[in-house]
Amino acid sequence: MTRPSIVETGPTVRRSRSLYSGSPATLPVALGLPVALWQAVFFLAPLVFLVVITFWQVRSFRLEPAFVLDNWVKILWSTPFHRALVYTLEVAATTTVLALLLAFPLAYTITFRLSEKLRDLVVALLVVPVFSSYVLRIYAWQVVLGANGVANSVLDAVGLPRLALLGGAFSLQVGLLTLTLPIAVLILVFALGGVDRTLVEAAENLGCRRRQVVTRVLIPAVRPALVLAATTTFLLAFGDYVGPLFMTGSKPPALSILVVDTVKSGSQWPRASVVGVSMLAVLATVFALGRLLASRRLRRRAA
Amino acid sequence: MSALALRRLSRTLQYGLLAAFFVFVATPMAVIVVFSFDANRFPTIPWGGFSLVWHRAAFEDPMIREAFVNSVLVGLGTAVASTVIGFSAAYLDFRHSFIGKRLFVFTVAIPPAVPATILGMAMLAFVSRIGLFGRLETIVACHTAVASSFAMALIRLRLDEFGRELEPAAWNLGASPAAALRHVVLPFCRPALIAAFFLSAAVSFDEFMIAWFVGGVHETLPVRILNQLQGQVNPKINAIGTVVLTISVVLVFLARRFTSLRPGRPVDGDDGDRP
Amino acid sequence: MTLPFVSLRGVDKRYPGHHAVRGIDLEIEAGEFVAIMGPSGCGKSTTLRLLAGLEEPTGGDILIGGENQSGIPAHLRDTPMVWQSLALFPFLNVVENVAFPLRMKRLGAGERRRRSLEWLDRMGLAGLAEREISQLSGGQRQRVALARALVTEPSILLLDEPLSALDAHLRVRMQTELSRLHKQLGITFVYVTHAQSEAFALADRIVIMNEGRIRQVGRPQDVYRAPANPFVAEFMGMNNLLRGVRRGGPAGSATIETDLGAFEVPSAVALAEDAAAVFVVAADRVSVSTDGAAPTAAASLAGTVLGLEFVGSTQTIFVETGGGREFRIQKQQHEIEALDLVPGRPVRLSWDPRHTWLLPETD
Repeated sequence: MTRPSIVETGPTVRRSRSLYSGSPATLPVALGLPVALWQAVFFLAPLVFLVVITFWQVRSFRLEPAFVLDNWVKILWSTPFHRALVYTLEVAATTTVLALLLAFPLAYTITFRLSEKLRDLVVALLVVPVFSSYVLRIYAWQVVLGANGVANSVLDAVGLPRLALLGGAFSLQVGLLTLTLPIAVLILVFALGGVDRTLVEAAENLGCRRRQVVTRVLIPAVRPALVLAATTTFLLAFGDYVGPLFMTGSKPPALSILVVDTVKSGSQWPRASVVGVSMLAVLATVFALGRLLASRRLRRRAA
Repeated sequence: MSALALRRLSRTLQYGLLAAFFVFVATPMAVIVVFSFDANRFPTIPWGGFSLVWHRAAFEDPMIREAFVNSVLVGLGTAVASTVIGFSAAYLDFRHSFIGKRLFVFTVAIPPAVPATILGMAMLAFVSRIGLFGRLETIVACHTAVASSFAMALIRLRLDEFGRELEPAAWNLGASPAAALRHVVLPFCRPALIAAFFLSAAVSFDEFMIAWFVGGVHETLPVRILNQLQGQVNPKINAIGTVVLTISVVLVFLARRFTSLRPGRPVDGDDGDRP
Repeated sequence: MTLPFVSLRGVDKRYPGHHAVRGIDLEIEAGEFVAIMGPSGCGKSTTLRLLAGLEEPTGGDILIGGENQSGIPAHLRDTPMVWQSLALFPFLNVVENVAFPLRMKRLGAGERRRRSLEWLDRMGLAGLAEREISQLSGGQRQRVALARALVTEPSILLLDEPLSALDAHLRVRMQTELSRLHKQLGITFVYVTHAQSEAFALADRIVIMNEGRIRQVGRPQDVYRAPANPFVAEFMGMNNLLRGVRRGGPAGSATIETDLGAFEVPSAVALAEDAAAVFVVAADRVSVSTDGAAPTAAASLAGTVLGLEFVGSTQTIFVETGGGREFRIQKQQHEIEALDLVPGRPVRLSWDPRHTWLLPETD
């Protein structure tokens, strides 16, 4: 004789098959509902609304529901958008490459060359900038790299000619790396720290020299972390607003700047939304690519 | 070059790179702090002498004061709400399985991955539509949607150390699921809850894009800074900056104090874990 | 006739893809020490969890103290459990851990403390009340877990392999303590273990489970001496099983024809001709000789020594008989010293047919 268990006849709102049954589902629902609602209202809904707006129209400065493809056509075919897209992609890609090239050796040094205490201290010191005002730090770089800024004053004092540091790709990368490099380093430090030391020892035991250990053992071992660091860096650089604003004066404009400007001038919400949604599409593609790279098994090269 | 010399060179380069990196990271913050005490209006070398004039000016500026208060209020609100939401999400992820769980966890975890500009714009459009524009509570709500991701991550990590049998043991000893939550799960998560609180506060305190879009007339401090910067360069910025940096540093250090997360070492296990 | 204290009737637990407990029936008297044993995955832990209310049965009824437990959630049942991992709360100190169940019962702080300290005293942990769990030794933690389970003075205590995490000498010591505790308290103990020695040392009755079913219930010595079916016979360890069919035999016994020959086995119950049969020869009832001789009235087999295993003063000899079958013989060291048994040596095994018996079930 079979009798349905209490779990199977639980409330239908959210049927929870907890690890140990025998308790009603009221608690999980009570906990889960506020969370679901909050995220739905303040995160999902806005994003969905964003997509919806792309089909709306602006008539005499008022946003009106409609279903037109004008905004999409106008933006996707517009040169400024193309330019901004290509530019932002280039910039973000550059930042990603630079960040990876720098972050790996840095993380390696931190993980393997520092004592445990020192390593903890370094990590603590790195976490701080990640969560403290990016706007201010960008402003500070402006101060340093400006025509009359700290850097040039130092060069003056030493007798060297002044450099135009601000306003170009260099200062932009400086700004973006300020944002992304600490995060990339932290990700890799955690990943390298988690590598089984016996793998390294085994490799050395089998005759690998230092460089080979790095390329043949370490890098493959932290591939997911490398991908994570790369995607995070790309994501942050691609979507950044303040960096391009202060470091290059919005010339040429990055996509985020395009968005804000479109909103500010004439409240062209639908068009701004198109740019926004396009950006999300690009990022989703990059993210998906990243997951592919992280999980795909490396094809073995001929020995 | 001999192998030893090569190794020495590579070591030197490694340490050199690390040092350069720290200079790179520290420079912006050092610049702000140093020049906030500079009597000169424009930050150049040589230094104009130690002075508190800009700090005083910043403190006396009513807009800055108001922005500061707003930041604190929003930060506190976000911290509380994020910790609650982050905990609920982390606990549900840990204890239960249900249809749509992955989506559920995803919606809490993903917001920081959406560029703030886009998210801010979307939030502005939406909250205007539902009439919540221009209020501090709205900023709190939007910040929470993003910060709870960090809170959830911290608490979920702590729950990884929670023995699978502690809750059933509590039920077995007479605790209802709610009582077990209150008397067993929450006390165990206390360090992570505190860390999540401070970290969410830091995230909110630093956040400017969403606050700029959604806050309207109510400026938080970063928004005030942003607006001020778009005008002319004002040495008061340095002063505000010093305060802001100090607060952020304190919050992050407090958060770190309560997490046992260390790289390269397995997280501390507790007794009660199934062997 | 007293009603059994715990009654499982047709209790069934089915998970998607796994039938953990298949309609078992069991009755446990008040004050009994019952050990449930079996290989991994046999359903013994699930049965315990069903008693505790941590799982709900998909069929059948569980009665404790005459009351049907279905629908009563875990926290309202009075079935405290001692866990394999102990599950002590790391953020509470010793006395707070012990007082936890009392706190859940809303007892006042003073009363809680008094009773907790009393139990700590009884368990020999006086003076450790304010210590942190991490500061205690394995044996001390065990006792805290016991105190915590017993502080509400329940009528039944559930134990899920509580000693398996301890090292050997501690285990033996704790076994004695558990036995003493049981006699002192007089309450029902339901003890799950996979270690035979523990079950035999502690239990009034043992329950042997396999694949979700109860295979045999009885006093330890009875189950050991008279296994009811091949599974139990083999699970108990030192038994040799021979399968065959009945082919006649004198009154009171049956001749079982196996692939190793025909053997006479006492049989009180009439077994049908040609019926399948399994009989047991206990390992310590087999004699070994190297000179090919066997007492005339004995059953005998020829074989080759495969190997020997030495445990204390007992030798276990593995002998390969016809058809690649392995026979196990248990002898005291001094009994076989003179025989110089080495792998490869041909030997003759023999036993008194009166020391064998037919298993009631062949499966």
